[in-house]
Amino acid sequence: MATHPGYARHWKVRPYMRAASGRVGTGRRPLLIHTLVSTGGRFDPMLAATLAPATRRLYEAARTMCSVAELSAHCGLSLGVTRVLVSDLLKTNELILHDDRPTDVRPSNDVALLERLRAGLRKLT
Amino acid sequence: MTSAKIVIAGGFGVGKTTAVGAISEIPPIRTESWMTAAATQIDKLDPGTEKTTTTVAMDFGRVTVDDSLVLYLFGTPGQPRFWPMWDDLVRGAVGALVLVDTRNLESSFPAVNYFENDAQVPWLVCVNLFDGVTLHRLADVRAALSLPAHIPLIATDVRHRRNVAQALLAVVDHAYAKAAPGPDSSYQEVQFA
Repeated sequence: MATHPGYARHWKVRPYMRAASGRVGTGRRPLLIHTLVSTGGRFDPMLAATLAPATRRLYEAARTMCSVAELSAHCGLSLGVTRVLVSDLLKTNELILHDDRPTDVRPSNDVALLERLRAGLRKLT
Repeated sequence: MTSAKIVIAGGFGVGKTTAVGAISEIPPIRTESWMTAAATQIDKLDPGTEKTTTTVAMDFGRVTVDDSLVLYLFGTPGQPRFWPMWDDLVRGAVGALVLVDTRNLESSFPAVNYFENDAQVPWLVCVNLFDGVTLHRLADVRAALSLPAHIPLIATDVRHRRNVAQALLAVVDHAYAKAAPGPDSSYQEVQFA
C-alpha cells in the first residue's frame, strides 16, 4: 500500500489494494478474440512459478504464439476471464502482442490486409 | 505477424461448424465464450441461490494465409438472444459470411437482420448446397430474405475446402470492393460448383 506524504496511516483507515487488472484493453491496440499473443521467446519459469494458477496456465500456453481465443480454449477459461488476465500480462510485458497492421485502419478497410488475404485464399481455391 | 478474422453466422444446423472444419488446419475448437446471469437456459450455480448462469459455446478454426498472416474463422453462437456477444465476436472482423439453408430459411433471419442493421462489417449471404444441388433459384432466395441488391448472394457446398475458400474469398473481395472501389468488383449472384 502506498503511503502518501501527509497522510499518516491510521488504524481506522481501511487498508486497500488496487487490483492488478484495470480495464480490459492495452490502450493502443484492442485485445480482440483473434489477437495474437506470445511470450516472445522470453518464457521465464521462475516468474511462472509465482503466478496465480489460471494466469500461469495462460502464460505457459503462450510459449507458442496463438490467439486469445485459442488460449481460452486450451486453458479452459472463458473468453472474458482470458482477456482480463492476458491484458494484465501484456501490461507488465510478460506477454507481447503480435500485430503488424496500422492501428488507425479497421481491418475491413485495410487494403493491404485484404490483398494479402485475397492472395492467400486464392491459393486454396 | 498478424491475424485477421472472418465471422461465419447463420441459424442452427446450417453448416457453420462444417464450414469451419472443412478449411481449418486444426480441428474446430470449441470455447466457452461468455457467461451471462440473464438467461432462460439455466444452470444453477448453487442449489441454495437464485443466481443462474449460462455458458455459450462457439466454434472456431484457423487458416495460415501466408508466412505472416493467420486467418481465424469464428462461428457465431446460434440463438439470436446472444446478440450482445455477437458484437464482441464481430468487432475487428474483415467481414462475415451468413450461411442459409433453403429448407429452413427462417433460421438465418436473425443473422441477416443483425448484419443488415447492427453490424459495421462487410457481409454476404451464402446458400449452403447440402447435397450439391440447388433447390431454389438464387433470385427467389434473395427475394425471400429481402436481401438488398448491394449484398452479394452466393451458393456453395461448404463440406469442401475449396468451396469454403471461394466463399471466404468472396467475403474478402466484397470488403475489398468497398475499401478500394474499382471496376473489378461487380458480381452479385455467383454459384460455385
